[in-house]
This record gives sequence, C-alpha cells and structure tokens, in this order.
Amino acid sequence: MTFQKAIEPMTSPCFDEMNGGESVSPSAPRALYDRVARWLENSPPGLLDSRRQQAEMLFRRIGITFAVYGDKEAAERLIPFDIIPRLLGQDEWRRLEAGLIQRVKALNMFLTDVYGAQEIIRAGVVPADLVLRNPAYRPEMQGHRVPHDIWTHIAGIDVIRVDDRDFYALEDNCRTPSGVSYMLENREMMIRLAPDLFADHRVLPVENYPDALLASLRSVAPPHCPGDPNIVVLTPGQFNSAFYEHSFLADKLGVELVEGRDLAVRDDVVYMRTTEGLKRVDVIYRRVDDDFLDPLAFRPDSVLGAAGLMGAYLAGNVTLANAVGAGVADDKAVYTYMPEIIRFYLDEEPKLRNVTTWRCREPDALNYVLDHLSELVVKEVNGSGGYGMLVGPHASKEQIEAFRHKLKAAPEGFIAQPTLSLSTCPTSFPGGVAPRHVDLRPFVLSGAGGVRIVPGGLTRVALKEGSLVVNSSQGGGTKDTWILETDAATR
Amino acid sequence: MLARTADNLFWVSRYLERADFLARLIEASRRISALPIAYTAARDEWKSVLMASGADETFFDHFDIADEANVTAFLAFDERNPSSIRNCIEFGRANARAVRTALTTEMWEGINSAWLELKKFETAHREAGRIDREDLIGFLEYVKTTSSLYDGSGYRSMLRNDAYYFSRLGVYVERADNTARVLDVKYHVLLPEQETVGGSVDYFQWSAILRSVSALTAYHWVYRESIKPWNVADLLILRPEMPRSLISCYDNIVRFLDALAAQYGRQGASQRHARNIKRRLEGASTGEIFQSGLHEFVDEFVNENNRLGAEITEQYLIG
Amino acid sequence: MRASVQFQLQVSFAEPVRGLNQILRLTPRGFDSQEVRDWRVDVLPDATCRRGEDAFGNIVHACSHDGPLDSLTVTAEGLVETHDGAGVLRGLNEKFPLDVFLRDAPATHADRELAVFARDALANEADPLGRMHLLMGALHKALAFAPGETEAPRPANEVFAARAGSARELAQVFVAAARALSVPARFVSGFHLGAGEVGEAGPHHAWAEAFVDPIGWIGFDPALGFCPRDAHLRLATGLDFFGAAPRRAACLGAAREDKRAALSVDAGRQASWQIQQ
Repeated sequence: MTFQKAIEPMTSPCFDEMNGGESVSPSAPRALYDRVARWLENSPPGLLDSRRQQAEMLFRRIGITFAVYGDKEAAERLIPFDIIPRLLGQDEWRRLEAGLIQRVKALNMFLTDVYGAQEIIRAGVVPADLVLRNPAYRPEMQGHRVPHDIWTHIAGIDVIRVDDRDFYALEDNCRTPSGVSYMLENREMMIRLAPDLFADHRVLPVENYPDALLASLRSVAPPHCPGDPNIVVLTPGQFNSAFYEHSFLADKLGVELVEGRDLAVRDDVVYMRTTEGLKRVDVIYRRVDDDFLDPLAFRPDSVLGAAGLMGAYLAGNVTLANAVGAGVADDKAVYTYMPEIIRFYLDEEPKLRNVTTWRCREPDALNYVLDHLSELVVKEVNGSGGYGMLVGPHASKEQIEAFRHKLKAAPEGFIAQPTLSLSTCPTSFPGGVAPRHVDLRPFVLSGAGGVRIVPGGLTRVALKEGSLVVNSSQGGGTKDTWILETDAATR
Repeated sequence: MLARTADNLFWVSRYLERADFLARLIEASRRISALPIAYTAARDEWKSVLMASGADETFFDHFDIADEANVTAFLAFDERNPSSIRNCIEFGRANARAVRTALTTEMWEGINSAWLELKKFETAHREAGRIDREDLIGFLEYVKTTSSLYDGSGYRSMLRNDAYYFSRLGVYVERADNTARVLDVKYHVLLPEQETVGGSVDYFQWSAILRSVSALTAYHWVYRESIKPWNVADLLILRPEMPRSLISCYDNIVRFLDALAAQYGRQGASQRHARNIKRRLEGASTGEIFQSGLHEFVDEFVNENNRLGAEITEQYLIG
Repeated sequence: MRASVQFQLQVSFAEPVRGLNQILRLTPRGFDSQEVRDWRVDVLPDATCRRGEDAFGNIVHACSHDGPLDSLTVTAEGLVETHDGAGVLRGLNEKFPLDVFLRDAPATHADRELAVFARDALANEADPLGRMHLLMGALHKALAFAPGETEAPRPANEVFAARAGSARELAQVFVAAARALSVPARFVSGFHLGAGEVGEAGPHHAWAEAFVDPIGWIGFDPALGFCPRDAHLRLATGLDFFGAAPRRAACLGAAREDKRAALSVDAGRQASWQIQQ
C-alpha cells in the first residue's frame, strides 16, 4: 500500500483549543486562553445569549446571508456566528504559515507543470489518468502560460489539528474559495460586541486583506496592460449563495462587481458596459465556475459568463483569477499526492501533514476501506460542501450498506480517511457553553511578488454536538480567529 | 459606472417612489370611500384607484368586484400584480442588493429593513388568513417612511456623481408618471363644468387627489382659499414650488440629466427631449390646458414621460 | 477526389441582435489523405476574423460583431484533394496523450446499457481494429440514422435509448461506447462531399475516431457504417460535439433566427486545381 504512516487512531477526548489535551484538566486552560477563560467565567448569565442575538440582528440587517442550495424556505439564511474567539499563538501561526506558503507554491508549480511539460506525470509521481481524466482538468488550457505562472491566486486551505503540535491540511481549495468576508466581518463583530475581551489581547490585524488581494490581482495583469489595470469581480449574480461576499469584496477592493451580461468581448478584448460605453477590463477576479465562463468554449447554455471570454483569455488580453483549470489541483484524489508533489517540485519535506488517505482506486486500499467503513470518512473525489460523504461512526447500518454499494460500483470516485478527532473549541449556545469541533480556512494569496497570508482565517465550527461537518451549507457556524502577538506557550 | 448599476439605481428609486405613491393612494381612497354617499359623486372610487395605479387590467383577471378589500389587497400585497407595493419592495430590494456597494449603508439598511418587515407582515397575514385593517395602516405608514428614508439618506449621504443622478432621475420620472396618472383618472372632476354639479360633492374628491400626492397642506399655503378644481390642476401641473408637480419633476429631471451630460462630457437624446418637455410645461397655462382638453394634455404627457424613460435606458442603462 | 468546395451559412434574425460572438471551425487541416489549398473563411457584415489554433490543433476563426445586426453570412471555401485512406489518419500532429481521450463527459457518457451493448458487440474479437469495426457495425445496425442536424445533439445515452439519431448524435454514441471499452476516442466534424449519399443531412456531417494500437487514429462513421472515404472532408476534432462544433455562436438580445446552410462541391474545377499546382 502506498499511503503514508497512519496517524494515531481516534482517541477521545480530543484536543481542546482552550483546555488542551486529556493530560490537562479543564480547570487549567492553556496559557493562551486564560483571558478568554476568565471572561467566560465572569460574564453574567445571559450576556453571551444577548450578544449572539445582537450579532444575528446586525448580520441580518447588513444582509450577510448565505443561500443554501435545495432549501427554498431558508433562501437567505445566516451563518451562525459564535462570539467566543478561536486563538492561536504567534509561534503556532508561524509554523502554519510556513506550511501554507510551501503548499500553495507547490500547487502553483503543479498546475504550471500539468498544463505545460507534465514532468510529474512522466516521472510517474502522479498517475496520468488522475490528471488527464479529471473533470477539473481543462484540455483547453494545455500549453497555455498564465502571467507569472500563478494559477491559484486565492487559495483556501482547510486546516485542522488534533493536538497542539501538528497542523493537517484537510483540503485544498484552488478554484473560488469563499468565506473571506466572514473572516473580515467576524472581526468587526467582535470589536463591536466584545470590546473588553478584544482590548485584553493583542490580535494581529486581518483588515488589510483587501489591500493584499488588490495588490496580488494588480500584479498579475496582462503584461502589455498599460498603467493601472481595470480589475473587476465577476459574480454569478445575487442568487448565488456567496453573493454577499462578492459584493463585499468588490466594495472593499473598490472595483466594479460585474455579472456576465455586463461584459462584452470584441476582437479578443474584454470590455464592460458602462453608462459611457464600453470600457476595457484587464483582470477578472471571477467567482463563476469554469464551466460557466464562456458559452462558446464551455457549457453552451451558460448565461453567467461572456461569449468569447476564453478567446480573450487565451490571447493573453485578460487575466482570470483563479486561472481556468486550477481545480485539477484541489481534487480530493490529487490531494493524496500532495506530499509527493511538494517533494517533487520543492525538494522539501511537507510542513503541513496530510491526513492519511486511502485511494479507493487502489485495490488494497479499497479492500481495507470496505472492511472498515464504520470507522472511516469516505468522500466523493469530486464532491464538495460535505455532500455525498459517509461519516462511518455516525452512520446507520443502512447508510453504510448503501454506501458500500456505491463504493463498489465506482471505487475510483472515492477516497477514505480516518475519522479525525478534530480539535474542539468552546462555543456558546442558548443557555451555555460547550466544546465543538472546529477547522480553519486561511486564505493564501499568490501574486508576482510571492505568497502572502493575512494572519488569521475563517474558523468554522460544527454546531451539532459531536458533528464533524463544519460546512456552512450543512449547518456549520463561524468564529473569529485571533492570532495573538504572544506565543501559545507563554502568557 | 456599470450600465447595469445605473439601471438598478434608477429602478430602486422608481420602485420605492411607486410604493410610496400607492400607499398614499390607498389611504386617500379609504377616506373617500368611507364618506356617506351624499357627500361624494364617486360610485366607483376603487375602480378609479385601480386605473390610477395602472393595475386595472390585471385586476379583473383575478377579481370580479372592485371593492375596498379586493383592491387594497391587490395593490398592497398581491404577488400577481407586478406593481403591488409588496412587489415594488421585493423588486426594489432585489435591485438594491445587486448594487449594494453603490448604495450607502443607510440606504441599503433602509430598504432591507422594509423587506424584512414585509416578510414579517406576509407571514402574519398568511397565518391569519386575512389582512387586518390596523396592520394595513401600520404597513402603509412603514412603506412611506421607508421611501422617505431611502430618499433622504440618499440625499444626505450619496456622493454627487452619476450614481446619485441616476438614483434621482428614477424618483422624478416615476413621480411625474404618478402625478399624471392621478390627474388622468380624476380629470373629469377637475373640469370647470363639473363645478355646476355643486361644489361640495366633489370637494372631497379634490382633497383626495391632493392627499394622494401629499399636497393638501401645500394647497392651502399656495392658494389661501378653499379647494377649486382649476387650482388643483394648476398646483399639480404648473407650480414649480410644488415638489410633485409635473413641472417640478421636470426641473429636476433636466437638472440631473444635465449633470450627467456634464460629467460624461456628452449630450444625448434624453437631454434634448427632457428640455423640450420642460419648455412646453413652462409655456403652458391652466386656461390653455383646459381649453385644449386636460385629458389630452395629461395623456400626451404620460406618453412623453414614458418615451423619456426609454431614451434614458437606451442612452445609459444598456451600455 | 479533387473539388472546389464552398460552404455558406446564412443566418437572419427576426429582430436585430445587439451583438454577436462566434467561433468557426470551418478550416480543414491537411494530412496524408486530405490536401487543402487556398482555403478561406469570411463573414458578412465585415468583421475581423482572427485565425488561431485550439488545444486540439483545430484551426479556429473567432469574430465578433457589434449590433444592430439583422443577418449574417459565413462562407468557407477552397480547394481540396481527398483520398480514400480507409479512415487511417497519418501526418497529423497529435497534441495530447491518449488519456485525454478517455475523459468522461455528460455528452459522451456511457451508461450501463450502452456499455454492455458495446461489450457484447465485440463478441470475442481480439484484434483491436476488428473490435472497432464490430462496434461500428453494431451501432450502425442498432441505431437508425436520422439525417437533419440539431444545434445541440442529445447526450449519447439518450440517443442510444432512442435507437436513432443524427450523424453527430451517432458519432457521440460511438465515442461513448469506445471509451466505455477503454479505447481512446474522439468526435470529428466535417463535410460529406458526395451528393446523395448522406440524404438530406445538410452540409454537415460527423463521425468518430478511435485510437487503434498500433496503427493510430482511425475514423469510423457509424451513421454510414463504414470508415471515412474520400467524400469525408475532415474539419475539426474534439472530445465531443461541443469541442469540435463547426460553429458556436452567442448573441446579445434573444432573437429567433433562421438558418440556411449550403455546401456546393464542384469536382469540375479540377482543371483550375491542376493549373495552380
């Protein structure tokens, strides 16, 4: 079998961000959290509840809502916000940051190679069919170079931890990762609703994210673009689940928020329709999936893109961020090769750990998975948002058997991972506080000048007791993430 | 700016202005229909309300009788009426949401709160299975407040650039249309020969017209006499100091179109046409208007105003 | 055969459209059994037609028109000399590793029924070439060829279930079936130069190519039931119809459109061809 050293099997109780591992008793929180612990202890009953309601009211009034697919009643739902922050020490952050930078560098190099010389395939490190037959691989992009060889300008890397030592990369999001508006709005909310707690800490700022993003986008403008590039954010429109974020980002970047119908392509140049006629567009931060970008190149029935956009893109007259075809790098099957990918391009050992993964395409792995379905998390290789996955320990016999059937029918479509004991963080509920599982999605920006990450990210929390699914589409909530100026170990 | 953004701003304003007008129209008509029959010549008050709102055709697809309950429900809450108040708020909010970033926070929060209020009201209404009169009055008040809030916060907080101009243009093009529609539906009670019917009968009609465009108090300040039909027409058509008069609307339309032309350094069909309409209003007098026919005058105005809307769209909002 | 070929497409809109973008794959590439001379693609009203090459090596012209536009003409014409090469493609530069031609896509996905049909069609034939011939024969027999092209062919499964389809639909079924057998396959769009043979199919024709080890890429025409001969003029190839479509267009302002396409093949112009040589 080719998978790496298995991580420790699930042990309970799991690592708690505030109280530490099992060796630490709850009465002695990690030094990092002592102020938060004190704050929780001293908060009069009902304070957290009222703050939560206040937050909800503010979110709704500003219109920070999230549409959930297939749920018409709740067409505009709020993502629950939890007022108890999730803390990381600066030392922890530095380690994480180095790992993220390394990983995103490797992802971009992988994409450059895959759409170029394909050395990694020829070297036999990643199987050809995994790339070339991957739905996210775009043959249209083969042989195309993108400015500065950057394909995933904005990457969201989902990170988890199971102890106070290692960070695991759980998933790479190289297409159009969302959630950064929550990272920014959550901070505003904390400053407003928990001013004393915030003042008690020295929290590294995240508010410069839009500036950093703008600088990244500017740096990848087409080479012949004169002067100040015209940058736009392309949204599928206000019925998209992340529309709030699109409009939020356009506003913070100070650029136009366009829909496909606002764009016109003439002779391989992209324009936007303004009240003064057509105006040239140089960089498009697109939040529309590849398939919908151009009805002449991809899905002919798409009305979300602009006809001829791909032609302009391939002619080098406009930059798309993220690049078309970048999704081949965040595929769950490619994920399993990330350690090898990092070694291949950077000749370094991976700084973030990969979660042990069984590739069901490999017969030995498949047999193991089929034998251990009740212990494993099985994911569809091309699924996202927590749909189409089996969480073994939480599934009924029938669900497991149904999944076994699916798995046997098309094993190459699945991977399996051990059910990790995601770390927990205290989370407030009506009438109390209890630990809930969390993950973290930092946003990694790549531009001509290198890789940049604002210190922080979006902490997602599984609100249901014991649940490991943190996706907002599945009822997860969010927390503000504070990277403190102090190290985790010191006070 | 993006043509679609301009289009959205223009239409948010139109929708909110229309919602405000409908709310006033319903209120004024409720008063008049509550009068004893001897006090008013109007037998089909609710039908004329439908006509003034432009919803008369669709209404009779769904209802047989134009009574208070049916008409108020249709104008205020019916999803099947494309310009019901609830649809105005729904569409207005959808347009606003699409261009959130072009609005100031106050404007967005104003219209978003109105939408949330509407949702609450609709839920209550669905659960009760009927519209409570008191709730209705409360809701109409809320609609008027929202419109003022949007208008006012736009005035206070928006940068004076094309976004502001398009937003204002929407208000005045819609307002001119609304005022003209009221005049068009009620023109018969304003004709001089109607006076022989006996002043007091139509008195309440006249005051209702003034109320529907919130001009009753203004009337007294301007004319300092009891309500006379020709004065009502004069006030609503030709008085520049009356903010809902046709001429006042066109003062503003011309002003904001000129501002756009100045910002973009380019004139077009809409500037020329608006100036032309304004000139004609300036040159008109009540006497002439009545002589050549109030109905014809208003009819032509409505058409010209619509044409201007189409020209603005063609010139700026398609891109 | 040697011929002067002219393809013309006339589109007229019920109401003028405000703008139009199109890409045209109407330029044949030359290879061993297909020689192309003096080929040009033209549009009316005049617009810049930028010639380029897509990832699959097809020659693509892209052009855009500003509205209002009430009609549009596309012309592609030139001189060709074709030979019956038994469908074998030689002398073409291949851009992709074979794995690409095994990709699954909605238009060319084979469901169980089609996959089983494909397997059964092979009987016990071991020869790769023989297998593809058997597959073509079986599809040709099982599926009725219904000339007349639709703008968007139905997905392979649907066509197979209906047991009938246009040339491009049958070609996609072949591609899906071949891939289900793990044989790399691709879609080909082209013209059929022989009058009468394709019925009233219109000027467009379509077939498929499969990679047969060790010979290479070979064309299979499931609509006609034989491998491409000298009447097959090969225009473009792709993973499915959409990637090889002779024309893809999108216009601003929804409009009903009326399309007329014609292909004239003049074998009598051989004389001028020879003079040019």
